[in-house]
Amino acid sequence: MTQIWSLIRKDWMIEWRLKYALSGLLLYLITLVFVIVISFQQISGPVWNVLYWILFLFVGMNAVLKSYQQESGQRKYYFQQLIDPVTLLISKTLYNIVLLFLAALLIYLLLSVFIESPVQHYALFLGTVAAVSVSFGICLTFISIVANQAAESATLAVIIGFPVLLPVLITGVRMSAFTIGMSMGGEIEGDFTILFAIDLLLLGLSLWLFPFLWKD
Amino acid sequence: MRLEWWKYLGIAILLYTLLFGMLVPLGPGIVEVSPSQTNTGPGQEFEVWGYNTRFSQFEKLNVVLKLDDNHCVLAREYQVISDYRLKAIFDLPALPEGARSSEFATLIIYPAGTGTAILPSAVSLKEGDGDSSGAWVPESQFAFDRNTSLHFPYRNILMESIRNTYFHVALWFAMMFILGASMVYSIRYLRSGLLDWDLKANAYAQVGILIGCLGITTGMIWAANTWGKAWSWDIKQTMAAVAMLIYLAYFVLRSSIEDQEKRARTGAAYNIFAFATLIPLLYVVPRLVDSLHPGSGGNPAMGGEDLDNTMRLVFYPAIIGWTLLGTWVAQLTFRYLKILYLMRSRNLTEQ
Repeated sequence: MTQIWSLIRKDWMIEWRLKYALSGLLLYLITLVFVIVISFQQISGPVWNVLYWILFLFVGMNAVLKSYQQESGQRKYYFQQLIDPVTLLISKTLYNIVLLFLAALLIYLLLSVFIESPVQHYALFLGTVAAVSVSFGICLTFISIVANQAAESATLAVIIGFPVLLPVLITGVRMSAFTIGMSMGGEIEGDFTILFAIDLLLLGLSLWLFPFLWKD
Repeated sequence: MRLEWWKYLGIAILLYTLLFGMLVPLGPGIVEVSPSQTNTGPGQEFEVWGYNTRFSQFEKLNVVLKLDDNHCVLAREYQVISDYRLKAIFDLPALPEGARSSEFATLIIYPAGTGTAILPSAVSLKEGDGDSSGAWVPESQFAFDRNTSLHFPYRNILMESIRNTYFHVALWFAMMFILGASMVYSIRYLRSGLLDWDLKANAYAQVGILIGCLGITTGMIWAANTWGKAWSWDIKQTMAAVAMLIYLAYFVLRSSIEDQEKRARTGAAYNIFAFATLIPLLYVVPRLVDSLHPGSGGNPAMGGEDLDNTMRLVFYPAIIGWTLLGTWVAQLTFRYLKILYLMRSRNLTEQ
């Protein structure tokens, strides 16, 4: 537990000291929001919904996919002697989940500054964002680890990331459509259950598979 | 050389599937009833077009309109125009107590050929003002024999294309089995570290994707004929394409890692992950969204009466046949990959 916590703190310290990563992310986000607002002018509820998740997808991939890169090379051997792979994976995943959740909130705030947000049920929306962040965090952390095994990791991460994330993204779009007052048929509780089941499946798999990828 | 009997079995089953699946005729069906909406009352005339029917062969036809199990009515008289066309006149009694203002009635004609012809929701009945001379009778008064000879069921929209079940649905089942085998080999590789298992996982994944592409192709040919468009971004089509993308990414991943051991390890881990994401992709997400695909939105599909016993006779062997053929091809692919690997490592040692 303390190991996990100190690993998360270490990640945050590195991120905070190397300001370029965070500020780059922020700038990327602001630019995207600007481009969208300027080119769309008027955005209806359903379009807002889709745009929000596309923004989240791009920003999230940018934020997470590089997260494992620093763990390669010399530092990897150092960690291999110090800690259990499962601890490292859990700390990485937790850190990424929180990062994604904050990014999602930031996207929402930025969008609502420029465009009136169509969200009607705020608690449900927050829950949706949190649930999708968890799924994205688990998926993207594992993808970034797999992609890092190859030489062309950045391109590869995008190639294998998109199709894996798609079911989660579709469920997310559906769930937030509920919160802006569109009915898609069915109950939102069912979607939460599905996301939760996908999370459990993927988390279990990545915990099981990571030790194999970890050793050289 | 061992006698690999299952290869011959696979070929025999597929030949059987092809012959049986293509040659067994469709049962009789009703294509259209006109008018499709009418009021209750005496002397309502309907014109009926049949498919694979032989109306003129039988001395006496029973033309029945059915609301539910307790409310059926027999036509007062009928006139056969040709094998595929007849006119029937009904004295429709008033709608029963507790019915909605308009009810759908099923049209049943028997004997119509090699069985009973049924069209669900054929006519929408509204309460009319005419005095009714007829009366509803329970269904048990009629002896519908649902299956008198070997034939596939007639379903509207699907019609003859129902045979695609053996060449599309069965292929997708076989793909799941082959990809599952690929995942099992990946697990075995991670457990043992023997490179053979990894080569096998790779071979099975390749064949699985080949079968998947064939399945998509037969589905697209089918869709071009029943939906009017080969690709209409239906959720199942989209998810199938994404599933293919996931596995194509597996091959990209493999080819982008130089080191043999590392490639095998990463590939195995991703393969297991990919198969796990296939399940929500193909079986959960499509259930959430409306689809044109048979099996959702009231479209006919497997289960219930749609996959009847005659179809089961072909459908289950078809799955086995395609899986056996896939396994055979995967074995050949594995040997090819192994030869490539051995040649490469020999070249390396000679240098």
